[in-house]
Amino acid sequence: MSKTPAQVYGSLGTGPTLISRYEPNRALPIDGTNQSLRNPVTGSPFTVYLVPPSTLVNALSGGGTSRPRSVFDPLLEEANQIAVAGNQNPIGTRVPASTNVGIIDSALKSNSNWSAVKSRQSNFKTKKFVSTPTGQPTNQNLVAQNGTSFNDRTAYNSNANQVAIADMQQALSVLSQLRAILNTPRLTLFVNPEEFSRVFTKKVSYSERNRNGYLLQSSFDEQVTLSGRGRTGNFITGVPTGVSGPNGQNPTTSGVQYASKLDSAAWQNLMNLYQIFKNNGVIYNPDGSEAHLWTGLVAIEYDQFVYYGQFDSFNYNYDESSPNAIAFDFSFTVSFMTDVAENSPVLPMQSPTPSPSDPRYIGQNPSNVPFSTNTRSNQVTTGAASQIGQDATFDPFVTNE
Amino acid sequence: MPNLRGAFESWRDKDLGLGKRPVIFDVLAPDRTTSLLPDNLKFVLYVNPRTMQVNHTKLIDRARTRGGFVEFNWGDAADTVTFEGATGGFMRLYTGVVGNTSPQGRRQTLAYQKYLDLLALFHWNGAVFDQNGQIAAQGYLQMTFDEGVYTGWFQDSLTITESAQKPFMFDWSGTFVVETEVMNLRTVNFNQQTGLVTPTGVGVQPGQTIVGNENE
Repeated sequence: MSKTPAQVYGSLGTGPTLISRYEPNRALPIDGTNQSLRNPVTGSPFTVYLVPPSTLVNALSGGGTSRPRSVFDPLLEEANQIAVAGNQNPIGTRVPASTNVGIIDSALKSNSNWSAVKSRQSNFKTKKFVSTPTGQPTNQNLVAQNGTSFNDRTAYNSNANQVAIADMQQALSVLSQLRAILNTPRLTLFVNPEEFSRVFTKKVSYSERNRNGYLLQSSFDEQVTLSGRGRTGNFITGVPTGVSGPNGQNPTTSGVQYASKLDSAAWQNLMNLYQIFKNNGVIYNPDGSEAHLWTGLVAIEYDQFVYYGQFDSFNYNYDESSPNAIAFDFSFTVSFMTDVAENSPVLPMQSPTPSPSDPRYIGQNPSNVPFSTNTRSNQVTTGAASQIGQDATFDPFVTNE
Repeated sequence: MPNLRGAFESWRDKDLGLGKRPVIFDVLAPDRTTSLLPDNLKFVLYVNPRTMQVNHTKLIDRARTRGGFVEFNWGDAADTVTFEGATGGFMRLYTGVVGNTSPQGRRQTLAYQKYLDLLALFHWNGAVFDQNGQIAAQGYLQMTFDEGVYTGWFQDSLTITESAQKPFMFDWSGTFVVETEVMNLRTVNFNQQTGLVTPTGVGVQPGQTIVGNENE
């Protein structure tokens, strides 16, 4: 089992409201917990990791993102078949079958477009408003049409509105953040939550009534919500490392005490979880705002279930009654969950009409299953679909040729 | 001459290697850098809060559609720090603990005066007022505790409670809303050659057990 410095998690994008600074440990961190309890084979690890945005990963790996089918697609397909049978033009599809963001192409196009815009602006300054040949549009007309000067007769048109990325700086920032997400290792909590709840909610109403009785109104289930509450391990440090403080002083702490907190493995484990919470799988706009360019997922793996979704809240509490540990709690909303249990001699009951909300409905490791419409009813539709089982060696800065 | 001292000497206590971690407040000008307090002077809580909870919330709206849920990510809600603590005991010089409100009572104690200082800080909240009592410029409060530096303001209310069961102190509670948060964390260094986590890059010494944050 390899060890990961806490600073690795600090490379994640966390938005403009948090600045994380790292300095070397002044004492050796000690993990006083029983590590065998976190063994994935024999123990009960509680593991959290990030899943990058699938559309972004697909774009960089040369693939496209399959458009999920909708309830209107069969109708369109039938209409197209009728049109073709009648020797008429098909109506077409709702959207392209797959899309490719083309982040690098967009950035390059934007760069060249910006140069073209600047060139047109400087040319415009030399134009005359009144003295133009007869029959040709005056520069006033040209400006009114596009805001900048362009020659519509030569079809010289700007594609600036079509790019997805503003410039190469933004593209590089996106790639850096993506690489940070891909390089962030899975985080296993040293101490499992003391309390871990899963709330499954039906969308069923049987309260409205008419003269004949009550009316059943039923839809697919609400998103599953998770909540956890726990404590870190105690703050334990070992021998000093010899690193001095900012003023040259070299006070050292060791043993179990609050002063050991910053150097302790337990606190750093909690802060790593905090970094994952703040990132939440999001690619931030590098302009310093809270704008999101892409949204990925956070995965919680526990008890051979994997919950894909995003954190909603994360709190930790300093309490005088517990000076050597920190209590924390979190809430998490699940976009979809899968059962990755291995075959067991004990078989679950199978419903004749399984619910798409049942994680066992997928029935196998999702990395082998394409984005399935069978589970659409319990899945997020905007930007949160994940490329599950993404190759961990994928590097966005390396072209796949 | 005898005197009474608080738990902390100054705001520098956390760097003296004594294991002390005071809660420190500073008042910053609108430029977020210049302190409005006198040189080398910061407000230190007389007694650390009993509990101090740091709250972080994501703003995600979820809408149910025919094809599933649509999630709208709106970033982070404003972080808050909620306090719950006590003023410290009202210990009067030459008298001991006092609970009466006479002119020679609890008002002449360090803990009570520090409570009034906290109340003044709450009222001030980093604002610069004009002669009519209107806010002419808004500065910031900066709260420092251990690794966290939180820039923001007091929010909502500051509640002071005195109880017959605790006659020699006040309980107080409040909320601090955070605009920006700076976390000064620590990490072990990674030795590229040995592949082991070491504090100085030299290597793990025999008999030492070093564990960082494990991955699988």
